[in-house]
Amino acid sequence: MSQPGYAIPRSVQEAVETLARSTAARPIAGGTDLMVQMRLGHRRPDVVVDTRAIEELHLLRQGDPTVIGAAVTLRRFLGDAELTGSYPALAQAANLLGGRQIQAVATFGGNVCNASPAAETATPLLVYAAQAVIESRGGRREVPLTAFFTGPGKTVVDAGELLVGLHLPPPTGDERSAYRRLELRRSVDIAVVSASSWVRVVEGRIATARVAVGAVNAVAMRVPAAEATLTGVEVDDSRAVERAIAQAAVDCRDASRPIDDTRASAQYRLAMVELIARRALNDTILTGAH
Amino acid sequence: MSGPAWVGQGIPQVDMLDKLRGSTKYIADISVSGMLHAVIVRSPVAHGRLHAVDVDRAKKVPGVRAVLTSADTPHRFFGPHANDWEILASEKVRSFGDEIAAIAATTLDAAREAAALVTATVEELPAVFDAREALRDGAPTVWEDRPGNVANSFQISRGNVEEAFAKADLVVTDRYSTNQIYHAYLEPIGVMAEYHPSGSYTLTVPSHIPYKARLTYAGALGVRPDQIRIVVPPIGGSFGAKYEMIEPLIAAVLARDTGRPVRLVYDREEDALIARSRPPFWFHHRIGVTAEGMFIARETEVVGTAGSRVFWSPAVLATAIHRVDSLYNFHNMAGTGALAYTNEAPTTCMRGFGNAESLFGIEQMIDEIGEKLGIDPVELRQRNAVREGETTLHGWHISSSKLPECLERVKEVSDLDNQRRETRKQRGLTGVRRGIGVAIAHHVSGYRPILADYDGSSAIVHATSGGRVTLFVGEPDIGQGQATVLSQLACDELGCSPDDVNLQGVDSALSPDAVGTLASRATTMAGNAVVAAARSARQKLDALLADHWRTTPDRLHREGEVVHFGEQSLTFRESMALYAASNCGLPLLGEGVHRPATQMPDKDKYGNPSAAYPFAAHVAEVEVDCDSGQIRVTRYWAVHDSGTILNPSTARGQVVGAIAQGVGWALMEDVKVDLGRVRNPNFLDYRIPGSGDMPETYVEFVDAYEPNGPHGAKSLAEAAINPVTAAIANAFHDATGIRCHDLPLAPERIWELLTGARAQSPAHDAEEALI
Ligand SMILES: Cc1cc2nc3c(=O)[nH]c(=O)nc-3n(C[C@H](O)[C@H](O)[C@H](O)COP(=O)(O)OP(=O)(O)OC[C@H]3O[C@@H](n4cnc5c(N)ncnc54)[C@H](O)[C@@H]3O)c2cc1C
Repeated sequence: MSQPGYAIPRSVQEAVETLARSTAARPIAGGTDLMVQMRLGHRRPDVVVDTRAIEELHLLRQGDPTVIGAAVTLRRFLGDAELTGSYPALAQAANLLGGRQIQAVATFGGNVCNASPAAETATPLLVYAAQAVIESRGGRREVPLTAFFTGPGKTVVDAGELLVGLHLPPPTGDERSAYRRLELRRSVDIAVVSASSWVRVVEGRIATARVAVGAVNAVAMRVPAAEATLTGVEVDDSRAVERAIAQAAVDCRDASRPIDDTRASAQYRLAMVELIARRALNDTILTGAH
Repeated sequence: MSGPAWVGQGIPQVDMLDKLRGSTKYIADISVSGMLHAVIVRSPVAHGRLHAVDVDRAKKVPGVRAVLTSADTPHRFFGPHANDWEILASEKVRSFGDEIAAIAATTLDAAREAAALVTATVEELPAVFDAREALRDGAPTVWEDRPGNVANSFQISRGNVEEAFAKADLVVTDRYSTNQIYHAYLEPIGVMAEYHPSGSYTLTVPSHIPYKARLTYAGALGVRPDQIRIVVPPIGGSFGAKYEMIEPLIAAVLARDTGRPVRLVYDREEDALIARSRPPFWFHHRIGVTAEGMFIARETEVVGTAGSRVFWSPAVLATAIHRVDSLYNFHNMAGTGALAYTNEAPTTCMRGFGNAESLFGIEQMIDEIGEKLGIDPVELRQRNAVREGETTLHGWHISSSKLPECLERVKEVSDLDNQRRETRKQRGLTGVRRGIGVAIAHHVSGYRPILADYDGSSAIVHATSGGRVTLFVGEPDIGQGQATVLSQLACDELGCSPDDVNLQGVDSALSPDAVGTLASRATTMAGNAVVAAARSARQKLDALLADHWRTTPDRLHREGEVVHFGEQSLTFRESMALYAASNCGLPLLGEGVHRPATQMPDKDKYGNPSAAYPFAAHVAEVEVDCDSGQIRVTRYWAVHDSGTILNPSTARGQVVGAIAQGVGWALMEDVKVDLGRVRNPNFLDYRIPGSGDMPETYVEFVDAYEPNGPHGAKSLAEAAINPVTAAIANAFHDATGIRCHDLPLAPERIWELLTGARAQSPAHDAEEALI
């Protein structure tokens, strides 16, 4: 078993050049997924390309768009009061990812590129309508996160490509959002199911709604049926809101195709995705004055 | 002599700094020149006939020094309880973990590469993965010479149980099961073996019963026990898993073949894949009670899993069947049980040793009896608990028990009665419910039948001219704080400070022979021996000092580390310099022998196997999210009678650690085995509790004194885990009205139970809340 090579490019340009040299090259950021997978033999890169010396990948700023560089750590994001205030669902998710030590090195780029169906930041980024900025020798492209995940551990980022960062629309001030997950223990665990929701309220009605669920399909995904259920609902009509939330949660369940694994049965995940989606929606619409 | 200076003080563990700094040398940190790395090749199937093992390609890997199969070993059957171990599998493989080849190479990578090239020709056989199925007619046979798959069985009875049940006003019957638990020690298994041209071996092995293990290893290697020097390195936890293992033997045959030292260290996955876990048990319990709430009969039937071969499960089975009779007076009892061979990894003992398993069900049934008879659960336990001075059904003599005080105190500090009034009012199947539950337990401080030859302990104290004191005992420290309390005990005899004292790691070339550290025996047994040894050393020292000051020993007066005679005084160090100078440099030596007041149980298991019995009363409070099934232990109270507490800080550590381990067992820990393969051999999916899962914890030790213990101390470590799962299950029942018969009370199981209960009680529909 030979040790892979290690490259530390200083620019996006240099990184994609290095990545282009071998189809078995693999970017590395915090290594909290990749190192584990390499040790278990699930991934065998011939070169690992460290992304952390590239300045552009460390961009973190609120604006139009809000930019989260691929190499930004969760801890750094969590320490930014403006961003955590503007994107509360993402902050809640980031706060639950791993423990303090993991958060210090784990990155947003790593979390989305690892493409676990249970990835913590996936559902919040989906409801914030994030765009993935991807670069290769051929140039730069932007892919909406809804089209980013292609399967467990798989994304549209091809060999030779690098995720530069995530672009999020700026907060408008009339939106609310929340994240929820179900876990089997209270310290450092992976979600059994997760859900995020985001609504924009205009003139007392839900003008736009976005709902996403995790760990219940091959990829984390939006649930258009639930979004349609919520759209147009008057937020002060508590009966209507309750009904819509209950229905949207059922929509989430109906959209789910979970698997049985050592963590949970499919049947339990189905029941729980409804519960957790309902809780996320309650937080968003009823209790969340975000 | 003034009163004790060190005993009773919560001094930090003497080896704590080394551990915190990472300077403690565990096996994985030990490397000797010429050392080879070993890797084991395991069976590709759960059950099969092994026709051939092809090692040719593996041998050609650069760096490989040996690739051995069964043919290269002494090739005999042996084992601690049944002759069903072999160093490497010969004719059959009986579980995925079975070792079919062993490789030694100059690097670990080379050894692993070679391992991947070993191929086995195996004819797969039908397999059996459930102990209950294994015992049925027609089940696949794991061992041809053991038709019916019975690995071990146990029967015991006292009085006339059927007559007693006939007289009972209430009989409760129920089934309970306990699951397979991985010990999850911090240090995965690691061993080192050296072979010497004289034909002898040095085995560096983290066994806590090294002398017993040596007997097994000598039998396997075909040498005399004295041809094996067994050295115990620092042990990074064991909880029972590292008693006797196959790994030292595999390293030994590799060392003999190559003539080089061989180290074998598992990573976490391998350690968890072959984990010899707590045996799963299926219990049927029946308890008969009078209308006044007096227990008069108990019957227990148990089936358990031995796995593909027998480790220490038989002793666990016996304990699970009859130990509870020394906690409660049932007056008449009958118990039977069997362990089945299956095509799974072998199981072995773990902290609590069957007693914890049996109490999970019995302590719940006692609550149920209380509920049915309208008797408060604490009161019911008080009425039936064994008392100080009693000799129990099986002849156990309870020389001290403050269990009644423990129960009263735990009730008081947890405000149990008021809390329960509240929780009973809000009991339900939806939303968030709170519940509170009590459970009690006991254990032993040593167990006589473990090594029939001798019980007790002996110790040597060795002090140099510079005042350095070394203690030699045969009971290894397994991280529980033993070096600390033994030092404290020695210091109070010798008049020195724990900074001056070292506990020598057990080494059969230096240490006394001993039963070892198991059955919660070390503090009581080795503690008594150390006190005796230190006292004998001090008497020699005092004789010399008396001579020096021209007086008699009884006129000397010790205060801390200084010995006074009238106006004159010497520190411990000064007196040691004087001692050595007066004896041509001879170190001060003290010997101590402790023969406990135990009585070897007879063929009917009647006798007094332990010199002292500790007791505990626990209360758990839980919060159940009925919609998700998530359950959390929010508060916990533990009150113990462990006699005199030698070190309140390490003692508290034992209790808090046991609660953590018990919370893990009760709520989340579970080895998931699918067709004989462990599916969760890692800490991602084998969950142990983290800080967020730990309750707010209250620990108290009642005033107590055990006449047979050193300074009045008795054991603690296992008594502390024994009541935990039952206290939590009783709290869950208090919250929801549901009995959980199986461990763990993990979210999905709780959700299923609650969903089932809601379906049966339509009244709850209306309550369905929007959360
Ligand atoms: C103890 C522990 C607990 C954890 N808990 C959680 C949890 O609760 N929730 C959760 O979601 N995850 C959890 N994880 C997984 C992991 O920490 C996260 O997914 C983390 O965000 C990964 O980031 P990283 O920087 O370490 O990624 P890395 O391991 O460095 O990379 C992950 C993957 O992304 C690729 N990659 C990284 N950067 C780029 C880039 N710029 N362009 C293209 N590809 C890239 C890598 O090639 C690799 O395939 C946990 C891990 C551990 C070890």
